[in-house]
Amino acid sequence: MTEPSFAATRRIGENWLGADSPSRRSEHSSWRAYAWAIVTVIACTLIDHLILRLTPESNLIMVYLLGNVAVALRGNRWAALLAAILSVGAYDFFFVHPYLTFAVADTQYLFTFFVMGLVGTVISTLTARLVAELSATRQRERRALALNALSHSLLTADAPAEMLEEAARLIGHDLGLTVGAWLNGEQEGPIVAVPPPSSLTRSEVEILRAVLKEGMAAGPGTTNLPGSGYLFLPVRSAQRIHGAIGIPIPEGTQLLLPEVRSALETVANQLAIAMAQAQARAEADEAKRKAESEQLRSALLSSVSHDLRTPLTGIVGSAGTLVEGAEALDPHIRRELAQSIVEEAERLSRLVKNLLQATRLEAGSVQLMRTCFPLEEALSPALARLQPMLEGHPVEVDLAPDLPFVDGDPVLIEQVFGNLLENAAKYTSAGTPIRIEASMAGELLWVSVCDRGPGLPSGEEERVFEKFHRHPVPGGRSGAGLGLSICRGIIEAHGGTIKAFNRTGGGACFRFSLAIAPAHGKMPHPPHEVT
Amino acid sequence: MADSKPLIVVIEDEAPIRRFLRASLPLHGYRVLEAATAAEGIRHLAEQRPDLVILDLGLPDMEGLDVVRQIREWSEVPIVVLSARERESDKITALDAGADDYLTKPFGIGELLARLRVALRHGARRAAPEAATYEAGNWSVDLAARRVFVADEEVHLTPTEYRLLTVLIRHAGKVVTHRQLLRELWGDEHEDAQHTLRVHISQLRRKLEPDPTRPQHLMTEPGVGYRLREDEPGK
Repeated sequence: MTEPSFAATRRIGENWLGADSPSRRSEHSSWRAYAWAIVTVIACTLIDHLILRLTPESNLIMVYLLGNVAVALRGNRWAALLAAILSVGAYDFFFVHPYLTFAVADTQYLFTFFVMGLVGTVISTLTARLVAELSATRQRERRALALNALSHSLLTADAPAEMLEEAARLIGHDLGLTVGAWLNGEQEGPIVAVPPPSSLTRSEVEILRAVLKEGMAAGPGTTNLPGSGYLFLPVRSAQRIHGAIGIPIPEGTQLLLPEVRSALETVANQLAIAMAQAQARAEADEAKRKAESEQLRSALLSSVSHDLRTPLTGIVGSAGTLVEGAEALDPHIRRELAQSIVEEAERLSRLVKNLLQATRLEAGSVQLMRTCFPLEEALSPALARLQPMLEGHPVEVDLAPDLPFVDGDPVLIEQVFGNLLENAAKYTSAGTPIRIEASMAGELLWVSVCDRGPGLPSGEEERVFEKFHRHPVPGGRSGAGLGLSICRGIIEAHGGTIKAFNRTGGGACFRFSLAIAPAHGKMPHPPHEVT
Repeated sequence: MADSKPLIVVIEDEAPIRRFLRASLPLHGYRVLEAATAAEGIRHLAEQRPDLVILDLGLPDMEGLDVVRQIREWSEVPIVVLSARERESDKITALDAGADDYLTKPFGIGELLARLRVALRHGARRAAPEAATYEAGNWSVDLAARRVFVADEEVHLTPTEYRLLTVLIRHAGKVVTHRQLLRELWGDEHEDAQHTLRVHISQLRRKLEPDPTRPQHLMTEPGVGYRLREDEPGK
């Protein structure tokens, strides 16, 4: 064991997760312990010299035994043994006749020395063992705390890569090294999660591949390829090998301490459990998402097939009647049939448009053509477009004259207005007013569309925005349940929120927020122009 | 040829749409020539010199935009483009490239006829001198004296507002894209100018429309531009 490698061994793993070994530690501090033993014995001798005239001779031995305990408390049993022997020698030399020689006049003292040595040794050994056990307990406690900290940090990470990163960071921090980590990419091989301090040699990459494939540790301190510059530890659970951690072992250094190895393996195991759980969670989420999209698809299918079939039946029937009996039909009937074809086709067209829009919003493929525009540019076209539907409803518009421009896609915001107005017209009885308001609150413009209809059934305030959620209207036309979900999709794509609530005095309100135009949100007067 | 029925070339690859146009347009006093491809349509255009073109933007053999550009290289014939809803931006580029108006599929025949009337009138007007006054609803604009009246009350406009109004009047009934307006007003198209344009439109509405949130004439075509709606005498 050469000196440099000895020091390096101490560097790798010293204090790591409380893994420093008691024997190593005592070796490290041995010369101090022996010095302490000698000093203690000298001190005991001086004390004995001072109290010599005041106390019976037997008490002098007690002072030495006390000294022996003091040395043993340092935890080094060899130093304690030395103290015990030195104590016997010193006692003999200074306090047993003839003085200042090791010769003994009274052979009775030989027995005294024997007992003194024995007692000193036993006390020293027991005390040293106690101290060593105490420190081992402390180390276990520290290791438990460190592992606890690790599992905590693993809990906060949710992606396997993050977990590896966290573990590598923790190990590296405690070892004072940069530690690399790789995810097991199965076919495509190791995927770097934490880059190692130096790029791997070709043979090290091969070793890493083997570790990921076989799940065995490799590198210095193992039976597999101990010549590698890295110690590779697999992160493996019962299900699979999730990845590997690579600890760089500087050339010429000793093997990692066994305690450090075992602590590393504990970390690797804990990491593997966390990664396995994360994977299970991800798989469960994926399954849930699949089930949900499956459910959505079937809801879509059943809704669409019904909503498509109804108008199609009307169209096919009316058109067929016209084709078959064109001449025989009364002109009035003919006109009615043709009219119904137009109406049903328009209904179909609206449905298809909404379905497309909802699907595109859901898929996130709607691109906002953002621009700054006054709210009226979205509201007015919607009012004009829905004029026929709004015939029986007085529409009150209350926009403050100095409202700032909004930042958004005017075409989509027009659709929001259109859908909300259509909804209001559909679910309220003729003659009831519809009120549109807009006001500023902080950096947002809040727009509300309110009616005086029956309002929303309690508990439905959130559900009305769900896709295919529809509220049956007695004897009324019911839509596909897409309008409000489209509104929400559009507003959320703009980074705003939309909510529904019942207003005091009866009726439903839909309120949404829009961002105001950043730079020139104010409506400036055209510069240098007068009328 | 001058007093015969206007000839319309329909360039559209979808047979059902051609069929219904072929059936309905003659009922309203138009002659129809059909083409299923851009190449065929352009040939008709060169040979027959029609009064108007209805052009579908989703043709199999050529980009709709390129067809518009190609026609505009040598002909001023009014073009009304048909666009599918998913291709919103196509119709704006087509309008900017020189198309006169657009219809989004599916469209009603009433809507189509209104667009055709406006486009044909503008086509005829290209040669004729501009009228000295413009009247719509209770608006009256004296283009010679540069005075604007609403319900016989004179309204004072800033020079920019007035120029904006005259551009819209020149294209009355037709959609005018933001870009066209910017080009005609200031000759530039940057985003700030578009903002200023919106401010001017708002001001103009406030001065001319009794209820600016529910305008009767100065209509917004969301995402496209503006349209000065005229009274429809024949409707």
